Amino acid sequence: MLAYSIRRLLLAIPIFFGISLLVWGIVTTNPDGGPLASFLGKNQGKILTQQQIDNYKHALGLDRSLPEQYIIWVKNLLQGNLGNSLLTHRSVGATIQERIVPTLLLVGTSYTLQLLIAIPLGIFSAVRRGTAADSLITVVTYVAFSLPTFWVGLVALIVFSVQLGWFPVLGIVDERTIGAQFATPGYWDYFHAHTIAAILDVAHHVALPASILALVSIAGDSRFMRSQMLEVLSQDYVRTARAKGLSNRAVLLKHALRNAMLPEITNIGLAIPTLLAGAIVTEQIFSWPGMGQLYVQAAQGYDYPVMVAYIMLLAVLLLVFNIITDLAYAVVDPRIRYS
Amino acid sequence: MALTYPGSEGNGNDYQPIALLDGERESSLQQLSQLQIYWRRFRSHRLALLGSILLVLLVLMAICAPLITPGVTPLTYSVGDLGFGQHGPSLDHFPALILGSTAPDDLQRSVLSIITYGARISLLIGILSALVSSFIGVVVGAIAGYFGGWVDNVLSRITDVFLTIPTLPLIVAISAIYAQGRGSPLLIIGILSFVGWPGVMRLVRATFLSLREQEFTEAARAVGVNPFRIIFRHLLPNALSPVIVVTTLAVGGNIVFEATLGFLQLGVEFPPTATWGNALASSQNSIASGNWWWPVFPGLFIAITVLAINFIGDGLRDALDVRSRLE
Repeated sequence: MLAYSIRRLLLAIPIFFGISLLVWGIVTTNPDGGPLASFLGKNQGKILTQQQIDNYKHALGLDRSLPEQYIIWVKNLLQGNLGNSLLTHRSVGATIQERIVPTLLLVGTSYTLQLLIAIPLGIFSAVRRGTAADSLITVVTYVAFSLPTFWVGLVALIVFSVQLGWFPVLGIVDERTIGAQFATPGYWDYFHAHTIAAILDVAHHVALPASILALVSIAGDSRFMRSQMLEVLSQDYVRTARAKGLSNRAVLLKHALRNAMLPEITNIGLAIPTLLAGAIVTEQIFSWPGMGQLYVQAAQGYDYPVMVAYIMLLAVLLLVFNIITDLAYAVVDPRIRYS
Repeated sequence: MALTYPGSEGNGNDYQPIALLDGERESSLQQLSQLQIYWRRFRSHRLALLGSILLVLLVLMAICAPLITPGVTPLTYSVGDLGFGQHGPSLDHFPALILGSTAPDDLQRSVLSIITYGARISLLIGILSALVSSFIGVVVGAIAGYFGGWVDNVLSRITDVFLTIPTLPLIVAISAIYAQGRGSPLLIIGILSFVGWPGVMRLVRATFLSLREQEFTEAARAVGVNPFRIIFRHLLPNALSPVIVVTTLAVGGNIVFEATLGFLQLGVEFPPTATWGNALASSQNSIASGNWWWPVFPGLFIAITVLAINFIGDGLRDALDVRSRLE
């Protein structure tokens, strides 16, 4: 087990460098003649003199050779130094830290919702296999799975926020009543003074985007749960449990469900980084001040340090969760032995 | 150990093995060619047929775009009251100006013409990028799987790198750099192909790893057949079924990616080229100004297309009997 863990970690190292090289390569080999040219072209390029541009280049280290630039960048990356945003001149690390809270809030709520709906739905489908209810669930989740997130999100925004007015149209908090943006000192003053109102306010804002994000992902999870459950239900130990006269409920919950849940661990582990990436579109639709919105703004304004940091963060998360999931699987299922 | 991947339908109960399906029983199999068997199975999948009909209608709509909105293209606009000043879906000006409404650029444009003309580009991007990425995936996967050893090692690690970077952020990054909202359809096809091949590569590589150990491969090698001839003439036809299914599903996925790029204003440039995706740019502004139909209708067509393609993909999966091989 220990040897396997170490081997997994060692295998992740070349992949990490491969990812860093690819991401860095995409950014530096752009057609405009370097990342700075793109950024300036998009932003304040016209008012800068050549001298100023050269100074800027020197400050960013862009006047060095490409291999040198890459080595410096990777070194900084490994030390946790992600550089500064070109647009705001603030540290990228600090900006991401700020933005990660709303994203985790959105993704966490949505994923909880998704599991709470998908797992019972899958179990129900499996137990009632072949009935009309099972077919209905299959068709509905299949259609939901095929719908593009941005479209479902936009339609929900139009119907529930604009037309019906049930949910706020944008943001994570009601800035007008509070008089401050989320996570600013002013907001925390309000939060301490009216804690319950503040929590309800955030809950009101998160409800619609989280539901949309959950809706499109329920299909995969419930189908997966259904097939796992069906497989377990055909096992000998389930037949034994029934034969010794246990109630249907006990058989399902104690014997079948616990075993059927095991592969779900793989799903949960791998879903987390994917969900973070998937939140890009949802955050954009609902003007959610999270990492996805930060990333899209950076991409639109060509703020390359932010772009690179965001992709590297997600890729590293995926690598780490891959390994953790594999190991966790061996811990909970004693039949699996890695060698 | 047999791990089932998330999302796969890993259960032996639903899946009917090679045994004959309904309708194949009476007729003797010898009289049917392989293609006929596939077609019979596909035909018995009702949703797949529905999907095919929908897709044919969508393609017809794209081809006949000038007939549906005569005289009006996505580039036709009006600033005043030239007849398409109505602010909502309306049949008054059928056929030319149905659904005339305020466009993202605040000019009066016909939503219907953007749907019909946009279908051309969106379908083209979806289909071509799926084909190109599958082609890359097949070639790389076949080489890695057939030669094995260090070749396989290098190609597999490169594939791992692509598979570890989340797809949507990667596509957004490349488009931000190369397209910057001024992209051509060809550029978007290139980007989606560059990112889309690793899944197919894995699939083909796995099949080739087992195929190359089989007797017919060894026989071909013993006779002295050139390795590339073995790969493409002898092995590839045996590995193609799952690739066809994955490619079909990728068409829908790529249409959604194009639309997402358009929505984020990083995709194909309009004007001159209208797509379903760039019709969704500034959706929020349209919604804020009450023009809800502007994002809703192009999005609806994307949703219908993706649903149709997913149905077809499902039908092909059953017809080509690849469920077991996809796992």
